[in-house]
Amino acid sequence: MNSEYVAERIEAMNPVTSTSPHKVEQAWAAFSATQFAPGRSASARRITLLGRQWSRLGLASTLALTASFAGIGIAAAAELLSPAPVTNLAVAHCYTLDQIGSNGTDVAEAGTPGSVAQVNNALGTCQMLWRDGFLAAGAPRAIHVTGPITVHSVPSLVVCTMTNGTAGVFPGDDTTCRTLGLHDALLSSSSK
Amino acid sequence: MKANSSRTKEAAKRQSFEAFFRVNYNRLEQYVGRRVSRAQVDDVVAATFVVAWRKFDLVEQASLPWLFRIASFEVKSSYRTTRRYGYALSSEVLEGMANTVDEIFDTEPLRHAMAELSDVDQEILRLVHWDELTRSEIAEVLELAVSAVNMRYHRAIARLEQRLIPTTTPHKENTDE
Repeated sequence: MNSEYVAERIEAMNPVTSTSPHKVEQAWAAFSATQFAPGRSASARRITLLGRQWSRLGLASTLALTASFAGIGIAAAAELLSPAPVTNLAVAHCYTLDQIGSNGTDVAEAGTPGSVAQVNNALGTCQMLWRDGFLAAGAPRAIHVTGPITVHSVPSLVVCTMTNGTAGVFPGDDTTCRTLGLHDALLSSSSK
Repeated sequence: MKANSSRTKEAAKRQSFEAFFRVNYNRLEQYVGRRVSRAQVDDVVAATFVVAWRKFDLVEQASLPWLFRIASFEVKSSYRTTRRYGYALSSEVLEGMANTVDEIFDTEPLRHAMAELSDVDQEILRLVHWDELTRSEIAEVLELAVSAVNMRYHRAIARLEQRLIPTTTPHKENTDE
């Protein structure tokens, strides 16, 4: 036996089969959906640019909806749709369903209380918990992860202001807060 | 203005990453498929691309060896998850190897001899013979000099050969008798 023969045998043992031609397309679609989801970036942008709260999408949809409600109560519609400040910055809640109830987990992470960072961190912290597998769709509480952390897909998340003034981070899109009867989260620039 | 410029830059990054993703997906999937069980391949590939996307604008030129290097960490992480430490071939991967038994040489001893090699030796043999990377590409994956890659490869194959000698000459004892 010599090295060339051994090398040849190693190559003959190569365990890989060919990849299906559609696999790349599917994989790219899945990757784009998790990394570049429009709802996700829009909600992130809304939170990031708190000084300029309205994203284009938010502004357009708000104007359209406000107009449709004009005849039956502009004031009520505006009140319902306008972003509201997060007043309780000590704690936030990461939900695992787009429902208010006992799902998900509280977070009280870094960020000076009363700062924009606290709400930004609520979104970031919840994203991290999803990514690291501590949260999954419908989980009633944070999942106890044993062993090393692996990367999981993160759904599109949106931050709403809860009725008690805390930030609630829900899986969903620009319509989720409204659907739940909540305001989109707004932190006034004066509290930065 | 600044926001527009930032959006344009982001769009260009995405476009460039998409091309990189499409060109390298198959090779990465195969690389990962040679190192983890079938059930874990998609997760490890996806995790690798997530990390690659985050680091995409930090590298001068994203390349296949760069992607493999990221994947090597994800593979290790996957092993830790499944409580298999190091690069030792999992039994499922061993089972997945093409079983091209012929009359002259049974692959079984080779499989096990390979699994008994050190992590570094196994990895270098896989990179050369399965992933078909050039020596300079392997040097990039392992962050070694090309000369070191050559030396390690020759040592690895010599060690494998050594391990195979007793198992491939089972009839020697009979002839001595």
